[in-house]
This record gives sequence, C-alpha cells and structure tokens, in this order.
Amino acid sequence: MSERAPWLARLALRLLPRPHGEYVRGDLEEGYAERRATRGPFRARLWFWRQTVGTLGAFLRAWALDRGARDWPVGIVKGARSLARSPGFLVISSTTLALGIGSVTAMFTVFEQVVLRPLPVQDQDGVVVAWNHHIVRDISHYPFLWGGYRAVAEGVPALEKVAAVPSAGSSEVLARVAENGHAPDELLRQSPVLGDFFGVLGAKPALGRTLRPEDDRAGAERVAVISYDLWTRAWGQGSDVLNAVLTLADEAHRVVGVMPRGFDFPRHTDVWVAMRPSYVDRGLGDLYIEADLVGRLAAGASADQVAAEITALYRADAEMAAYEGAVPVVTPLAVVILGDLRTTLLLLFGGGVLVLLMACVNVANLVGVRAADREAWVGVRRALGASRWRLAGDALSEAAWLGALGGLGGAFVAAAAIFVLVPLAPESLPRMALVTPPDTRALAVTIVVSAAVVLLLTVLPVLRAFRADPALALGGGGRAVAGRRGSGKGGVVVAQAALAVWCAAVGVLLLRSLLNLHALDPGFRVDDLVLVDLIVPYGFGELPADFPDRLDAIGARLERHPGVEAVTPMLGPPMIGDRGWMFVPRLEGQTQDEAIDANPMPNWEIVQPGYFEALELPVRRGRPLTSADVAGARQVVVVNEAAARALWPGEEPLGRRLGAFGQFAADGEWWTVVGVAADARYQSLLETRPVVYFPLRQIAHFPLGHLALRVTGPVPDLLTRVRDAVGAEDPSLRVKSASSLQAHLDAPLARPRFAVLVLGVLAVTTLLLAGIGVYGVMAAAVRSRTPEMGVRMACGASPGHVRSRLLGRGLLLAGLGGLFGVLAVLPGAALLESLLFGVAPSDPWSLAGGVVLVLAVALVACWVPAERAARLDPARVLRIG
Amino acid sequence: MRRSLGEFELLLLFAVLRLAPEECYGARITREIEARSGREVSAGAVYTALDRLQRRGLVASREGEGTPVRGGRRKKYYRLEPEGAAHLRESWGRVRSMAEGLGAELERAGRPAIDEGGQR
Repeated sequence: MSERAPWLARLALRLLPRPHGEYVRGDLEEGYAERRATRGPFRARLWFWRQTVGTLGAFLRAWALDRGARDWPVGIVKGARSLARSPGFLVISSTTLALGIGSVTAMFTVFEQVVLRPLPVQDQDGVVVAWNHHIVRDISHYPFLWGGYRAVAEGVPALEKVAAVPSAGSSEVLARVAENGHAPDELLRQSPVLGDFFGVLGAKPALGRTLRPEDDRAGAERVAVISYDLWTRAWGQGSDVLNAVLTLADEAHRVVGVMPRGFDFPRHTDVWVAMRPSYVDRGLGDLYIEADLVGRLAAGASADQVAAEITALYRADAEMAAYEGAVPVVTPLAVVILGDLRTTLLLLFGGGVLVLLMACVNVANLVGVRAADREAWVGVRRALGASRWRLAGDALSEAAWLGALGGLGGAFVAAAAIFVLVPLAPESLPRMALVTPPDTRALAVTIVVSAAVVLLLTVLPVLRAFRADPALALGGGGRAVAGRRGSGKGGVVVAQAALAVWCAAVGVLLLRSLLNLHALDPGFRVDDLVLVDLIVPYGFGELPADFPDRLDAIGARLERHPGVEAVTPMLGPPMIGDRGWMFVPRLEGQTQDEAIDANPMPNWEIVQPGYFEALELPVRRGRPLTSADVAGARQVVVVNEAAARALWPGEEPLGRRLGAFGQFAADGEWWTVVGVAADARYQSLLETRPVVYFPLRQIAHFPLGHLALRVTGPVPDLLTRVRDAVGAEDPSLRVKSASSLQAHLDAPLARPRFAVLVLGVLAVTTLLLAGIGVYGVMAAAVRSRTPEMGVRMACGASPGHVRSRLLGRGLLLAGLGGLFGVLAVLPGAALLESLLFGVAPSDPWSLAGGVVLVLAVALVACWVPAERAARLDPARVLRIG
Repeated sequence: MRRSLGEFELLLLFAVLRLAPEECYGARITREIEARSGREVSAGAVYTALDRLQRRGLVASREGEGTPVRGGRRKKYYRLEPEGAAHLRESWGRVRSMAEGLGAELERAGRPAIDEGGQR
C-alpha cells in the first residue's frame, strides 16, 4: 500500500477553486501524514475521505450561498417532488444510469482486483521471470538447464538473487494428507523450487515459515510449505497444520508453513518443496532441471539489462552451447502471472465505460427534452423574479437525485454482475477466483462517477435557465410551424451510434475469432474419444520389462466391453504444447553439436500398435506402426507432416533415419521413417507441432500415463470398468480420471468464450441503450415537427413520403455515427490483435456487421415515431397546431 | 451591537487567538479545534468560514511557505484583527454573562427529577 493519501480523494480535491485548493490540499496532506504516524494507515485513510467529502461540501455550500441560495433542504425536497411528478422519466433515467454506472463499477472492480491490486510479494516490479525463446528450434518457452541456472546465478550482476521453478509449472504428485491413513490418497500439485525462492519474491507466510536456503541442500530434512487453499481444504485452517506430516510420493514431509491467500506461483501449486532433498538422481548428469529462473532485480537494473547480460553470458561461455540460437525472455512477474488477461480486462473495462457514456448521453438527452418542454414554465418563474441561480439549483437538485438513484442502482447492478459473471469465468483465468463484490474502492469510483454524471446532467438545463428570456417565454409561446428545435439532437444520435458500433464491432470480431477457433480441424476424430488419466508410479527409465504387455492386456480387456471400440495408450497429455516431452532429433550425417544447433524439437509420442486406427488419425503416406515393430526388429517411426517439413524441408521423408541422444538412445541407434501422419492439434490448438511417433516396444523407457478410448456412445460406469480392467492387469497403476477429449480441446477456448460472453452482454446493453436513445430523439423530433408534417401532408406529401423522410434522416445520422465508431475501432487494433485468431482487427466484414447491427436497431427505433407521423391527420394537426 | 458570531465562528476565533502566529494555519487550527472541542471539522468548513470572517474584517491572512510533508504546497496563516478581537470579546461576554452563576443548574438541568419520573 502506498504511503500517500488515497489517490481518488486527492483527485477529487483537485476540484477545489484557487487559491484555497492549494492550502487545503497541503493541510490535508499534513494531517494525513500525522494521523498515519499516530493512528495507522487505515484510520488515516478514513479521515482523509471524511475530510475530502466534508471539504467539497463546504466549498459547494459557500459557493451557492454567495449566489443567493438560502434553502438547501427545501431545494433538495423540491427536486424529489418534481421528479416524482414524472415517474416515467424518473424510472427510465435512473435505470439507464444504473446500467451505465453498474457496468463501469463491475468492470473496474474486476480490473482493480485482478490487475491493479499488488501480488502478495514484496515490491513486485523488482521480480522477473526468465526463460528462453529458442529461435532455431522454434520453441517459445525453452527452459534453463542446470548449467544455465548456475551461470546466471553467478554471472548476472543485474540480478541480485536468483531462484528457479519448474519450467512446466506445478506438477501432480500422489499425496497422503491425513496421517491416520483413513483418508484416500489424493493428487496434489507440487512445485519443487531451487534456491531461495521465497527470499527472491520477498513473500511472507500466513502461518509458520517459508522455505529457507538451508532447506535446499542434499540430505536436508524434507519440509513443505502449503497453499492457503490446501490449508483450508485439509486442515480447516487449523494451526495443527504446522509440523503435520504430508506424504508426497511416499516421502514424508514436515509442513512448516502456509502461504497467504492469492499466493499462486507457479500456478495451481498446493505444495512447495525444496528441489534438492527430493531430487531423484536418474543418472542424467549434474542435476537435471528444466527451469524458469525467478530473479530479484538489483537496484536500478531493468529486465532488458538482465536479458542483455544473459545473452552476453551465452556468447562468452563455451559450456552454454545448449542456448546457441536462444534469446533470453525476461518478463516482470506480474505480466507472467496475468498473461493476456490484462488486455482482455482492459477491453472489457473500455466496454463498461462505453455503456456509461451511452447512458449519460441518453439521460442528458431526456433531461434536455424535459427542459425544452418546461421552457415556458421556466420563463414564467424568471418573470416572477426567481434568480437564475435558483433555477440552476433546481436543476442540480433533480440531477443529484437521479445521480444518487443511479449510483445506488449501479452498485446493485455491479454486485449482481460480479455475482453472476465471476463464477462463469474459466478456471484458467489467474486471480479471478479472488474477485469479491465491489469494495470501498470500487464504491468510491461509483460515487465519483455518479457525481460527475450529476454535474454533466446539470449543465444543459442550467444553460437553458440562463438563456431563458422571460419576455420571449411569455410572449411568443411556441406557435412556430417549422421550429428547428429537433435539429440539435442529431449529434446525440451520431454519438450513440458511434459508441454502439464500437462495442458491436469488437463483439463481432471476438465472436468471429471464437468461431474460427471452433472451426479448427483437429486432424483426428475427436467425437466419442475418452481420455483416461493414469497415475504411473514409475519414472522415466524405471519401467518393468512387461509394461507394454500390461498396457496391451488392459486395452484388450476394455475392448471386450460393449461400446468400447478401441483403446490405445498415449504419452503426453493434450495441449502440452512446447512445454514438455520433446527431444532433439539427430539426422544422418549430423554430429551431436550440429543437431543441437540446427534441428527443431518435435514432441515425442510413444505409441502401441493400433494408435492411428484408434484415434482415426490418417497416415497419409507409408504405413502406420504395427505389432511387427517390436524390439529386435528394424527400428521405425512415423512422423507427422509438420515434422517432415521441419526436418527434411522439400525432401522425401520416407526411408530417412533419425536418432536421439543421451538417455533416450544409444549412439548409432537409428529409427527409419516408414510413415507420414496428418497433423493433429493434440499438443496445441493454435499451431501444429512437429511430432515423431515411436513404437513403445522399441524405446521402452516412457511411463505412458494416458489411455484413449474410442467408444460408440455413452458407456455406463465407464470409469469403474476402466478401474477394474487396470486393477486386474497392473495393480500398481491407478486411474485418476476420465474425460472426453473434446473437453480438453475446449479448455483453451474457455478464455475467448468468456470474453465474448462479457463483451456480448455489454454490446447488447449498448445496442439497447442506443435503441432507446435514438427512439427518444426521433420521437421528440416528430413531436416538435408535427406542425411541419401537417403542412407538408396538407400540401400533398404522401404518408409514405413522410415516413421515409423521417426514417432516412434517422438512418443517415446513425450511419454517420457508425462511420465514426468504425474509425474509433482502428486505433485500438494493436491491442485487439493479441486477442484475435484468424481475423484482423480491421476485418471489414466484422466492422460492417457491427454497423449493420446498429443500423437495424436504429431502424426499429425510428420506425415507431415515423409511423406515428405518417398516420397524422393534417386537418387535425393544423387546427390544434 | 455588532452582529453576533455563530458557535463555529467563535471556536475558530478562539483557536486563532490561542495559536502562536507561526502556528496559525489551516491544519493546526483544525487540529486545535478537534483536540479541545472533540469535534472533527473539515478543512473546507474552516477555510470557507475564515474567508467569511476575513471579508467582515475580523481576521487577516498572509501566505506562507510550503514544506515537504505538504507536497510543497503553501500555507495560509491567519491572525486576529482588532475588529475581530472586539467581536470575540463581545460575543464571549454575552455568553459568559448569560451563564454566570448557573454552573450547578446547568449540571442538573434536563436530568429527570424523581417527582417528574412518571410523566416523562
């Protein structure tokens, strides 16, 4: 929290007139500093707010008293009474304002709590997270290995302290939470961290202590720090959590601390443990890690400086060959945590502001119409000696009531919107679960916005009151035939249409982007495919020799059930992208170094015979892998088209050979490409990753953790049947869950869908407001031009002519507004671009779609008044006109 | 007889009288009133009222220097003018002469007496 007084209050105090503003603000800053020191920041902030409101009130009162207003309470009551006499106006205006103020408050609440509120770490701007963008291998998120971590920790002066977290984020581990063993084992997400992770972040525990550097030593006691959620879930927030035993993958850990609510890095972590004591040496070299670095910037250093120093390190150190062709990506922690959510929320906040603007334009228009209707009455009052300030006071009083009602309604609308929308937000959105209903800060925004609305709404009637000439009002009461009174309202229609088009066009763009995502061809048949998650107790290279046979037996057993057509084990989970299970292939004629330097990194997929048939993934050329591809036979692989393109551009892949390194394959061991499969969007939805398919029996180190089941429809008790089959064939395996593959492919769509939902609601609201606004303007125009229409019709104009004249005018204004709206979308294009897939922000069809939507609404809104005008009886109009 | 002072104006003039000239600016006046009368007053009320008093010639003001804690903003110092002192004496005299000898009565007044108990 900043040491300064509340910024919103300071902003409000800027309204004070000179020269007093300076003295008062100085005094209040002084008083705030004093109170903060003696009574604490909370009381001081409260005091500052009270003072702000009181001071603004006192100045306003003095200002009005100077101008002859003597009767505030009377004026306030009078405003309420005069509003109550036009209930229609009151209801429409205050509801419209409530919608506008509510939208802004709701969007501000979410934006403030998710984006602006500081993370539970010390000085978050000083924390950066680093990984690499491997340009040569086209990997956007290439981790640091042990050597790289050590080199950066020692050789980058711009970083004061460095720790590391797993590059793939938190990972699942089988855990026993209750000591008595009655509770079943459950899966928790753990993050083994390297170095002084909590020290780098400056994160304080909610209970107990965090991990210390001395916990991260080989042979140290195994201790664990748990998340607030796990503490709540498993210990009911009891203090007996400290020193409790938490068993992670059969190793007992002592719980030493609990992190505060909202501390969620790496994402979804339940347990943080020190990496070294739990490190399993699988003979992969010094300490095999794939890590993202977390660093605290040295005083005065920047993220760019860190990136430059790491790059220099790569150049200087011969051991950094693995990073040849890689560029370090150094990003502030807050950006890593929020990702593109910031942009989405900014966009939605913009949408909320638009709704408010529309609401204000609408209500200002209604107030204007009301003032016009009462022009004669105002003239009478002026003639009777009411001062202009008195009349202005009346207008202010009415506006204040509208603002108060709108603000109150807005607070409810905001609370309701958050209550409904936040639970709909996909789980993948960071920090969204922390959002609570509007708090004091959001309500302060509501109040300030409402006050601004009140001032805005007062301006127009006040101007009228000042212009009102008593003689004119009493003498020449409105018998003009073709008054130009309606014409000034054209601007309102244009503004409304422009705002509505912006919202509608952005909504259409997001919708098209979402449809594009939906329309992506996954490359294999996703329907009727169920993915079962297994818990495999073996690590890489620890498999029993008959593991492939056991998987086959499980498959055969399941395929005997009616409704299950085919079963095939799989290695990687869906949507893993470039963050795991990848390798550097070696091509014939390449040395190891050349391969590391030059080759792209495909994903592994380790398969059993029948894989391509079960997934209905077409093999375009050559053959699929079969039961003949066993150990001892010629070693073969199938590559997908993306891998073929990347490894042998423009050449024939069939018959080519590739190898692998290190623990994966012996030197001189080769696999021959016998087939080319179609690209499948299994690893990533937005791009087609290169994939190499190996037969499990020829590279039997991989703990395949998934089963894909092709079913003919819903299978009753599927999970139980899978459990039975797995238990019967390999009791060491456990079944975690089963879900449709479609659900996995839908997960990346959850965010765009949510954005479309919220923006859709805002767009519909703006369209509705635009409709009401256009209707109001056109109805008023028709009323004021009734005599003119009567004359026209008497002179021979047909009803159709009158109707089309009015409709034409409305649509022309709306179209002009639409043009402005479209122009306003373009500057935000760069911002939008990152949220769109397969559609450009300037996509003419989407923009046109937005304009057409608004024109349609305008047409409907104009139709009723135009129809009314067309039905006028000229004789009657002229008699009473 | 001069136009009498309101209660708040009375408090203000006493505060100005009490504070040393180099202490007599908005924040200190506000704090003084708060500390002595137990009444929290807004800075805005203090300034608008002092402005009124200045226009009536009861106080005078001069501009002072800024300090870091004020964000460099200047202070406005007030002092009592002879006219203000006369007003204050008169108002206070009226209050005091009305209150004279009523200390014990004031303490008792408004408290329910035994014989009135049933009627209240």
